[in-house]
Amino acid sequence: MVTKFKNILKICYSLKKCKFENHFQPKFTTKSQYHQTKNTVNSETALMKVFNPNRKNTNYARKYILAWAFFGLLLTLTVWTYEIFIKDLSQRFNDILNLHFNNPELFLIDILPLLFGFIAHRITRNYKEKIKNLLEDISQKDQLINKNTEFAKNIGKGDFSSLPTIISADDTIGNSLLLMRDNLVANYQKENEQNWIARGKEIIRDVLSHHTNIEILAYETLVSLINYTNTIQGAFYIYDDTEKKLINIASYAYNRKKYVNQEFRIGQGLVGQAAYEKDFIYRREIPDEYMSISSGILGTKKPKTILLVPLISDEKLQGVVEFASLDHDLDPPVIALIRELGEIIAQTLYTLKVNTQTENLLRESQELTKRLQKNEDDLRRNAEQMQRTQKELENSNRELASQIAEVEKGQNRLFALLQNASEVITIYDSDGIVKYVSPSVKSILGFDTDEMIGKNRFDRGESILQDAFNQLLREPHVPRTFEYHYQNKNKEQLWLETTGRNLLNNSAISGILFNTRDITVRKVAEKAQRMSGEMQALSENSPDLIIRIAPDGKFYYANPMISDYMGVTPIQVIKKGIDEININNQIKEIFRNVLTTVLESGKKFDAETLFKTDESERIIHLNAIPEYNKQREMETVLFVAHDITERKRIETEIEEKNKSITESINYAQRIQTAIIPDNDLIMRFLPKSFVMYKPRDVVSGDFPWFFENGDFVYIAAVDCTGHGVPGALLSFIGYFILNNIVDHDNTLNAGQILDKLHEQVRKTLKQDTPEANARDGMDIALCKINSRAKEIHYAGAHRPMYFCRGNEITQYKGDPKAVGGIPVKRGKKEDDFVNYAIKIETGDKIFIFSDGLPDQIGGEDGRKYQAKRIRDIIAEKNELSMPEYQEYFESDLLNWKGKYKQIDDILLIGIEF
Amino acid sequence: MQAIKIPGSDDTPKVILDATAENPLFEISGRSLPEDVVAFYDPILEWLDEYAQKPLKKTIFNFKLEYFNTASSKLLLDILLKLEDMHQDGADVLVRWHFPDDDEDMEEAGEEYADIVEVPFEQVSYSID
Repeated sequence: MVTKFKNILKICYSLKKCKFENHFQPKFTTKSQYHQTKNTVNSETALMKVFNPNRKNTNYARKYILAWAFFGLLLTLTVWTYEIFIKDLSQRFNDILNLHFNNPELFLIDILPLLFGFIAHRITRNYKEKIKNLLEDISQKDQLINKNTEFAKNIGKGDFSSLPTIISADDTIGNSLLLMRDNLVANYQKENEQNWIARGKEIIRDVLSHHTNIEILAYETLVSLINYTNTIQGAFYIYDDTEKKLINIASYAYNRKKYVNQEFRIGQGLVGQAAYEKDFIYRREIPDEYMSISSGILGTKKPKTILLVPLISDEKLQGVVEFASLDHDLDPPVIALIRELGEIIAQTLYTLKVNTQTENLLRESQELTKRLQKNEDDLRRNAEQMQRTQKELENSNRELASQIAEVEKGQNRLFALLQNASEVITIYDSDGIVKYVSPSVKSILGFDTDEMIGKNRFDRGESILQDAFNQLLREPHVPRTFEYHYQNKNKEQLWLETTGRNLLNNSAISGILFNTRDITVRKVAEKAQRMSGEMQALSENSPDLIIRIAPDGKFYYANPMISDYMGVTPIQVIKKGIDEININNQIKEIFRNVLTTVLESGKKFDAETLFKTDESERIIHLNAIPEYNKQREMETVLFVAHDITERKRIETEIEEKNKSITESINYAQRIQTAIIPDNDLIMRFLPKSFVMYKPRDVVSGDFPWFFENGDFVYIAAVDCTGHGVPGALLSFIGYFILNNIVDHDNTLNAGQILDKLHEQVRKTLKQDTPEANARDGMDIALCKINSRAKEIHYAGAHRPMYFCRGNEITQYKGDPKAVGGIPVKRGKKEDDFVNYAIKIETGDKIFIFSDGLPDQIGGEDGRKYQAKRIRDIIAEKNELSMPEYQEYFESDLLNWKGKYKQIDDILLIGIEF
Repeated sequence: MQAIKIPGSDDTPKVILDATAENPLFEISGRSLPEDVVAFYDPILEWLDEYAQKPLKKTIFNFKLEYFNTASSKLLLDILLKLEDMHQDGADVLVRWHFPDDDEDMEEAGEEYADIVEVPFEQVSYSID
């Protein structure tokens, strides 16, 4: 029993849940969804019915109570029996009673069947009540569903008026169905309206297509629309393009036509406003005073609404229609219909307008044709008369024309003759003013006749003309002919020949007559002839051999030198082939080869070759030049042979001399190399040092000098006057004298050494005599190094020494005088060379150099390298070792020099202690 | 008196000695390292000898040299000595020694010459750009 009740509860719960879920899909948008939902509801109802019957439930409860009471009795009897068996009592009622008295708790057990029955009854009644409530609920829902089903059925049939009596807010299905009904009603209405509008359009289209007269069409359209839309009045305005006005052509009010031909301008009144805005106007409140202006159709009875629609097709205004109604409001479909019709009517009006125009044009043209036909007849009659007159005129004209033509022909002939003549005829009056000039002046001198006539042409500087003119005036009977150079208007140089005659007394001319001819061609030809004559003379007298040979190898021309060069006379060779003449075979061979080469290449050829004759052998420079005619064909080849034997001999001699000079200089260089100190020797005493030595020529005026004597090491950069051989010769003098001085006496300081050197150089070069003129000598920077005493002595003649300690440079300038040469200060005693004694420390550096490096031209602007650059490099690169200094200076010099040549010998010595 | 006008070259200076012009000019400028110094300067020295006979009221001699070799320096001294002679003979002579302002060699050469010859001597520096 209990399980069954639980089942019932479960089913009820699931039913509730099912409805709850339905909440979330309440709207049936399609019919099929609606049916689905309906089916679900039906199946729920069926389920409910299975568990519904009330009576059956009551039976179950009664059985349940009885069962429990019986169970309580059975339990009592069992206890009794048990007690009897235990106590071994006899089966008597008393015994049972005794038993009760012995065991008072048995009384309690006796009440058990009653107690059980009562408890069962209470439980059953509770369940029964609950089930009853549930069943009531279910039947209520069932009713609702049935009602909704009925409602949905009606909607399906199309009956939208049936309405469920009361729909509670939680009846989801009901509400959804109601919503669906409302939507369907709205759609149905809309469809009706569309149909109504379509029908209306159809009617009006029909009206529009049946009329071609615009007024009838307007009126019929109004009538049809008013009838169809149940409005009371209407007016039709059409837009006149030329007048810019809207004209009433039809109106309808209580079936009467009135106010026809009323006019509105654009923007005037409601009609004009609708046209101006190109949009419809719909009014429900019509002010009294506005009426008379705005509307032409409103009579005594005042309408409640008014609608104006502009007729627009392709953005162009064709007219306006106006409708009035007594209703308080026009149905929206009515407004929609009239608005939509606006464009259709406008299109029809436009077409009609065009058609009317065409018709009018046609009619006009027909009338015109008629009128023209009439005029034509009159004209024809007039024309016939005129033709007769004209013929007479033509005849007389023709006669006249032939006479004129005759005269013109004669004139033209003369003009053409004059224009194309090769002469210019000019007639001057006695004042030198041009009276006439023939047209040929244009083709010959480039001037127009207008430019000449009436002007004094002599002022152009043609003095020869002026002279001739004056002579002709002086001697009228003598004609003058003269030639002159002339620049025509096109700046071309011409040769002219003019003959002048004085015809002042000739009545036909009465002026000075000049006949001028262009003789340039003749002059050029003459000049060419003269030139060729000159050429001939030149070549006849030329010391060179000149020969002209035709491509077939025949001699055309040979000048007299041929006898000198080849041992034959010109007459012996002319018009003969190379093979036919009697000359040395070797020469023949040369000519044949050169001719072939020129013929093949068509170009000039030249070569040095040997001409051998019986007596002599000479070196010849042979030129072969092809000569072309005007047709660009090779006519002849000109051979010019120039004897270069002598020149070659001199060249060879010079070459030989040059070679021997070079050889002797090279030899001198080998000797000079011997006095240049050996690098290894210097390195032995001054291990941290470099000598950068770059003679300009093979031998040099600069030389590094090195000497060692006891504790002392001498080193000097010597720069003798000049460079090359003279410099080298001086360098030997310097070298030996210096060696001699320090070898004999190692106590002399640097200044004293230079004094001695100066004295001895002058003595050697004999500069100590009064008449001496030599200025040769040397500049020098000399150091005497005492490594033990950590001291150096320096003295300089025009050459400084740079002393570098750390990055600080001290510059010792040396004395402003040279070693050798006559004393420059005349009559003054010379100062001795100054000796500088300097203490040295390890790391100190000295640099001495000739002027070749600072004076080297180079850089971007061809400036001097400058001593300052040397100092800067020494100071800035003071971390460099001596070999690195040398490398740096060499590459810097190379960069500086660039394209410039070395101008002097270069010598730079660096020493680090 | 015929003026001397020698255009300058890579090895020879430009020389203008013109006493007859409206603005007389005596100038040696450029680089002087001729192959044969004496041949180049001889005509100049001769011209000065002749000029010294009848010098102008005022002679301003301009040296504007960028470089000269040792051989040229002797000949330049000869020119200066001629000017010194003229000065001692009473002529009004001024030597203007122009040198690039960054060229100490030329400046020193000028100083040296000024020291040797007894003639009014002006050092004028100019800048090269």
